[in-house]
Amino acid sequence: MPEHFIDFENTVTALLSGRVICAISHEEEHSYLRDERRFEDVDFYLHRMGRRVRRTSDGQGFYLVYNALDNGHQKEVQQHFNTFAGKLDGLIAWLRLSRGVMGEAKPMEYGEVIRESELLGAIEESAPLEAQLSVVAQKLNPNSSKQNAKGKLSSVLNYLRDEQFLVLTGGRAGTVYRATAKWSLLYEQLNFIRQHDGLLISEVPVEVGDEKQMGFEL
Amino acid sequence: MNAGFEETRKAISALKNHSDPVSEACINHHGQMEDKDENNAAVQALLKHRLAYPSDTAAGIQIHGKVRGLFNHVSSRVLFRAHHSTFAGLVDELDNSIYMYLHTRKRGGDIQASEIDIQEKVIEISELLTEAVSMFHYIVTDEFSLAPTISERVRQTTRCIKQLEHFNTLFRDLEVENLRTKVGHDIFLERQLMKRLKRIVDANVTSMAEIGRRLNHMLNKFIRDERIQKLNGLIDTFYAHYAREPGYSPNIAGIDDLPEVFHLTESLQTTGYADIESVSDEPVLENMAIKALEKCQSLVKVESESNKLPIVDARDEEGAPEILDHLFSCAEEFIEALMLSKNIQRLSAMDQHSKLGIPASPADWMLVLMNYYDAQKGAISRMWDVKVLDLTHPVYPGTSDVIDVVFIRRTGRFA
Repeated sequence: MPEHFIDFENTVTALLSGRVICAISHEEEHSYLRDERRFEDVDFYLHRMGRRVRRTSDGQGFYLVYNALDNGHQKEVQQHFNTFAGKLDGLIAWLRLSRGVMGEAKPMEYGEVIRESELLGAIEESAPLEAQLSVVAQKLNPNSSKQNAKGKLSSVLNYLRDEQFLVLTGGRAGTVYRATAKWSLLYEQLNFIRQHDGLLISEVPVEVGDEKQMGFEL
Repeated sequence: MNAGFEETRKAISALKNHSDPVSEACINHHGQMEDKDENNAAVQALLKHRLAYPSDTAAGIQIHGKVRGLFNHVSSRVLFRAHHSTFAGLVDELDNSIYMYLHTRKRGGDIQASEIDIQEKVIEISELLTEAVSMFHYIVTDEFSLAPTISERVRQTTRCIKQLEHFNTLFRDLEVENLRTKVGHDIFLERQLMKRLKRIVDANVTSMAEIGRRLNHMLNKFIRDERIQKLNGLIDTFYAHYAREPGYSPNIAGIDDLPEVFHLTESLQTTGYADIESVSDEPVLENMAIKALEKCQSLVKVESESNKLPIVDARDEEGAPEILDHLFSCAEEFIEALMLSKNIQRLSAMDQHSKLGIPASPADWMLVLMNYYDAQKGAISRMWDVKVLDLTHPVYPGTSDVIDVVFIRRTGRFA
C-alpha cells in the first residue's frame, strides 16, 4: 500500500478517535495535515461522514467537529461537555498550581515541557503548594488512594496524560511530559464560557509573580 | 527640601526665559551655544544654574546632556518626522545637483560651484541621516518604557517597524547599485558618493538593522506577554468564580450559536462487515470461522476441566434471590462480550442497563460490573480502555456521581 495511503488512514483514524492532533502527540499525522492539499483531502473525506476538521486558533492542533448538531449529536456534545465541565474546577486548579511551580507566571500551553521531578521538588518544599496539589488530585482523580505528594502528583499527571493534555516523552532525566494542543482547545472553550456566563476578567488581584511579565526588557 | 524646590524653580525659569536660543542650540547645533551678545543673558543664566558648561572646543557654552535629553524627549517624534521628510527631499536634490554637475562638465560652466553644491548636499544628507537614525534609536530605546500597557507597547513597536520600512525605502535610493549609477566614471562623484556618503550610509544601515532586530524581538516578546497575560486572566477569573461559587458548573444546553470548539465528535471506531454472499470474501470468512471455532473449543475444554473440580456452595439451599442471579448473569454476559466479541468497539454500562432490562438501579449495576471487571482487569484492559464518566456533585464539591462506565476497544496504533 502506498505510504500516503497509510498516512491518510492513520490521520483519519486518529481524528475519528476524538484526538486533538498536534506535532507533539501525533507528529506524522500533524505533518500530514499541515499540507494544505492533504488537509482538504482529509476534510472532504470526513465531510461526507458528517464531520469537519478544524484547527485550534493558535494553529497548533487539529480536531474533528460535527458538521451540524442534530438531536443525536446534540446529546453527545452535551454529554461530552458535561464530563469536561465536571473536571473543569480541577483543571483550573492544576493550571494555577503548575503556573506557580514553573515560575515566570507562565500558564501551561502547547509545547510546555514538564519534568515530574522538578515539579515534585518545588511542591515538596512548599506547604501551600502541597496543599494545592492535594486539592487538584482530589478533584481530578478522586479514586486515587495515594497519600504522599509523589503519589498525588503522579495520579494527576496520569489523568492529564489519559485525557491527552500531556504526552509522556521520557528522557534521561526522569519522567518528562510535554503539553499538547488540547490546552489550546481548552482555553478557547474557557473563553467562550467566560463570555457566555458573564464572568468578569481579573476578578482577583494578579499575584506578585505575575508582575514579572510586565517587565520591559531592552 | 524648600531650598531644592527653589533651585529647581529658578533653573526651570532660566530655561523658560531663554527658550529660543536654548531650543536653537539643542535642535540645530548639538547643544552648542555661541558666545555672542544676543546670547549673553542666556549663557549667564545657564551657567549659573549648571544647565551648561564652558565649551573646550568652541567659543561659547555646551548645554548639559540632561537638558538636551529633555529637548530630545519632548520633540523626538516631530523632529524624527521632519528629518525623515527632509531627507527624502535632499536625496532628490542630490540627484538634481549631480545632473547639473554632469551637465556643467559636458557643456562648460562653473564646475567648482557644482562640486561645492554636491559636497554640501552629501554633508547635509550624512548629518541628517545620522541624526534621524539616532533620533529613531532614542524613540525606540527611551520612549517605549513610558507605554502604560502591553497593548500600547505592541502598538508603538508595530508603528516603529512600519517607520523602519519607510527608512528602508530611503536607503534603497542610496544602495550601492544606485550610487554606482549616479557616479558613472567620474572621479569626483566617486570620492563624494562611493566613499564619503556610502561610509555614512553603511554605518546607519547597520545601526538600523540592529534597531530592526531589537524591535522585532520586542514585538514578539510583547505579543507573547499579552497572550500570557490574557491566559492568566482567564485562569484567575475561573478560579475566583469557583472560589465564590463552589457548585458552579458551566452549561451549554440551550445555546443556539454554540461555537465549533464545543462540537467535538465522540470517538468513532471504523469497522467493516464481510459480505457472506460474496465469493471474494470466502477465504477471509473461512479463516475467521476456523479461528472462532478453535477459540470456542479451547473455551469448552477449559470449562469442562473446571467442571471436574468439586464446588462447595456454602449458601443457603434456597440460593440467592432470583433477582440477584439475573443481575450477576447480566454482568457475566457483559464481561463475556468484552472478552469474546470482535465486532463491538464500544460498550456502555448504561446503554446495556436499559437494553438488558437490568433489575437493579444504575448505581448497583455499575458497582457489580466493576467488581467483575476488577476480577478480570488484566485480561480486559489489554483489549479495552475503561472510561468512567462522572460529574462533580453540585452541592458537595469533591464528590462525584458516576454516570456511566464505557469500555472502548483499544486500537493497535493508538492504544
